[in-house]
Amino acid sequence: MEINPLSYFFTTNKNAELIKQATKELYSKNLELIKERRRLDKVLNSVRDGIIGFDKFGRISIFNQFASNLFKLDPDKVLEKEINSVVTFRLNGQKIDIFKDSFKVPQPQYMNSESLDYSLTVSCAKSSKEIFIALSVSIVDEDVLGQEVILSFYDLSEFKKLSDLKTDIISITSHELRTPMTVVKNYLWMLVNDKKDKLSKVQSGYINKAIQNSGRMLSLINDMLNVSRIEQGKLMFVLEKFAIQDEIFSIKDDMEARKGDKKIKLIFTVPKTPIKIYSDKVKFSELIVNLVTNSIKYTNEGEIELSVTAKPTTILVQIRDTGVGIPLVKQKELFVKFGRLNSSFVDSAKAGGTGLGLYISKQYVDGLGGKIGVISEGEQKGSIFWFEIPIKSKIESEIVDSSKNTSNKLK
Amino acid sequence: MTDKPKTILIVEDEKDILELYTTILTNAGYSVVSAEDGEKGLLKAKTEYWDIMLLDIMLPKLDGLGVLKAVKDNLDTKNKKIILLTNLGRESLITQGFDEGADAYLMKSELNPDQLLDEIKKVGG
Repeated sequence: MEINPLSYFFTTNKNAELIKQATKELYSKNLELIKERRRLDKVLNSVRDGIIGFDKFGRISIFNQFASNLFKLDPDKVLEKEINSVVTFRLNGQKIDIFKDSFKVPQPQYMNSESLDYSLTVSCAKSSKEIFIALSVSIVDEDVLGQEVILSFYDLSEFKKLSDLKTDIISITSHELRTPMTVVKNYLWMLVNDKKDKLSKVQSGYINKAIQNSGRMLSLINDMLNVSRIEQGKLMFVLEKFAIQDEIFSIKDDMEARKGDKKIKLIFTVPKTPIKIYSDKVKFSELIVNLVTNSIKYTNEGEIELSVTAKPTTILVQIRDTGVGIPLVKQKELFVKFGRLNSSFVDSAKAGGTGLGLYISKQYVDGLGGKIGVISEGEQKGSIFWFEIPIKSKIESEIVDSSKNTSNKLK
Repeated sequence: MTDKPKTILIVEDEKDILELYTTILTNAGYSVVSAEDGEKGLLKAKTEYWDIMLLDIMLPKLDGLGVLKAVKDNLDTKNKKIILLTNLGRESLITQGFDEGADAYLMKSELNPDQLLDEIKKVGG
């Protein structure tokens, strides 16, 4: 309130009225600023996000209530301190200099499961307790000296805990479901393939239906397990040399069975001379099963042709069908997790399955160092699903458990 | 086919799976010896006659890789054929198994009885 005596002093001046007016305005502007400041303080300290600001030299300028509660630090004691000496950020386990590299940190646009694709943690420099966060970085001011930056972060701990729990539950229940299902399927198979005691045609028909459905159940369980492995970053590959013809023909009967009563002709156009590749045998079969089953699902009649082309360093597998086709705009979504769910184009309940097959297939092909895609000229024009994988796959060490090197002994 | 029937040693802790494979193999004319954990499996591998071992990887007491290593370190058994039994998600263990000298592997949930028999024939059964 030092302004009032001053203004009184100037009343004797001939410009007194003007100065008085200006002072009054200044006074009320100042009051506005104080109010504004108070509003900002309230916002800053009532949000459920941590907000930390630092100046061009990396010294902390803002440390809001949420951040101080999270780290159990007194905001007054950390102001002006160098940010890296107060909090430690880690991206996928690697310590990062948040002052220099804040813009190298991924910033999720929305809060969804993608925020958990990488792990960003923050901890108080003096404590080892790490908190999973999603970060957003913004520049307040920038000049030759550097940038004044505000970091705001959302605590993902609960989200992460729930997501991990979900993954664990899926993983454990699937494991437990799988063994009994395996046993059921095998005994049914033995029943229908028993050469001594032949079943009647009707009985074999019933049992074949039961076998097909237990097989379907097993592949659903495996899909769930695969996705939980992918989410845990634990998808692994076994590389060995094998002839692709052996794998393709071993699933032919199964594919014939899956098409059921549909009037579809299954054609396998595969070169007679064995094509030997060094890859993951089980995943290769699964890829073909996934794509052919997919085509069967969306083709009501006509034909499905599987063809293999050997190229100098890769093999190209194509599955062409005369099915419903895929509009161009939908083609990208196909290989996304639960892509089908977001698509009004396909009646999910009618299609059956988890809708995870193409997502898993893409993860397999990516892991093996190949490419996958679809060509379709549009609705009702059929589709060609294709994948191309190296004849000799090299798996990046982070995917395969590298405690042992991949063996060369495999024949 | 004048050879006397081959003997298969199955080491598998899940009783239903063990019984299933025993039935499939006996029906196909093989002799079967079995054990329900790694230690017993290793003991039978040393004391009983067998030609091919079906070895589960996840076993109590001593895991499949431990059994495999011991069998391959033993002069009497090191040339015998070993097929690993596993399930999806144990890929790194299979790679280790191959490094230790396993001859093949089978994914239990993917398997039909005829495929089990095929695989056994492939390694010489």
